[in-house]
Amino acid sequence: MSKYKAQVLSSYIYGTDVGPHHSMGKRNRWFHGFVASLIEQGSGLQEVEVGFRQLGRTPAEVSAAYAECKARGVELAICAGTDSAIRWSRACPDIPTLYFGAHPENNGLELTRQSNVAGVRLHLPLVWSFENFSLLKALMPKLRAVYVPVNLLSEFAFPNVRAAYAQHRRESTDFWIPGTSSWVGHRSVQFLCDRMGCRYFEGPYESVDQLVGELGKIDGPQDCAFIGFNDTVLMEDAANRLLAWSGKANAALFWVNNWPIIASGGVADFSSHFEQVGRILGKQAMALLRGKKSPQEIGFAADPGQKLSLNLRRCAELSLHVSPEVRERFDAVQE
Amino acid sequence: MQRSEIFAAVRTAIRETSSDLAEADITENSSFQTLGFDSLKLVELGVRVESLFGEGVVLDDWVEQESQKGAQGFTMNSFLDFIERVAKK
Repeated sequence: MSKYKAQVLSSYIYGTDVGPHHSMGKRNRWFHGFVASLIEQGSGLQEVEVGFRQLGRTPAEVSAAYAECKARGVELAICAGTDSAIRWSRACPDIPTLYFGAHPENNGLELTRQSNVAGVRLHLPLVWSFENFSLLKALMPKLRAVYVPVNLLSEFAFPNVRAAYAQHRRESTDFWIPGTSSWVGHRSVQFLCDRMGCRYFEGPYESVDQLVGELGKIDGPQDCAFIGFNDTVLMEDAANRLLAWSGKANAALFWVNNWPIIASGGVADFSSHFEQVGRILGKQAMALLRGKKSPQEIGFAADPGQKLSLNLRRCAELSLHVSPEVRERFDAVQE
Repeated sequence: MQRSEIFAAVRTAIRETSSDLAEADITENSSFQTLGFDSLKLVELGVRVESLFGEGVVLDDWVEQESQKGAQGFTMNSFLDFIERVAKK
């Protein structure tokens, strides 16, 4: 008989037919780390009953999920990813919630002040470290520009970022916002590109057709890097179409925190070490459930590490030379 | 490690994962479905098996392999074959 009920809530829970990213949570092994931590503490899934649920998009759907959790006596919610955490925290003022996620500009940190929220604050290994970011140039010596699509319909497009984009649209019909613009959303990426000697463009999109259409207008995509964040997997079919476009256009696709997409045809993924994140969450969960500590006492743990993965087959297809020094920088290499 | 030793260790891990199987007759012909193992229990079993046989024994690989077999998948025999094969590497 289970003693405690926990509910995982995420926007990243899928059926198997959506594309390679359906296995993201499984492949990054955060839950494996979580269970390993429970076992190390003399517990397991018999004591902590865990359910998984894709969190709905509308406030009504999220409120319904909250009401259901209350009715079932859920004592712990785990929000995998910022998108679900933002929506869940609006609806849930009391169930202790562990959140792990990130945003390039640290948007959304308001939720860390909510008394029922604790967890692990992640870094985004590609854009929070020039050492990692410069791997793009090491792989692509002729790199002249970095492009980042931004899904306007996800929570990652925070109100301040949406406002900036709206200002850009008032001034310009150009889809791709240059990093030098006052209205760019991920300002820090512009600095990274500037230091690396290439240009930066950000593309806020509202539909997959719009995104793919605008990608198709870029001259010489072979000398550019296209970086996906997980806001893009939140728009149906966007990741698949981006992957397909990069294949046809011989463009180099990189991702942050989603190796299955890159394993299917991208160049490299820059992830947090989710198995270690899961281990921290396991300790935090037991402190909440068994130890009866409050989320405020638990607070936020630092990102425990990173895992960089390289798809050598795709590198060969794109004629990217991978030196032994560069190869060594990656924790996992797919031949 | 002999297959019989692997099986004994796996049986213990199964019972730690699912205490209601403490008295159950678990044989090499058992299937994980009839033992009541869903995907979450398989994750826990995977963690326990990795700690017993080393990190190279990644249960996800076996689960992926068995998922392709339909109703014939997820047998104890196949599981023991997998551990024998991978643990040797």
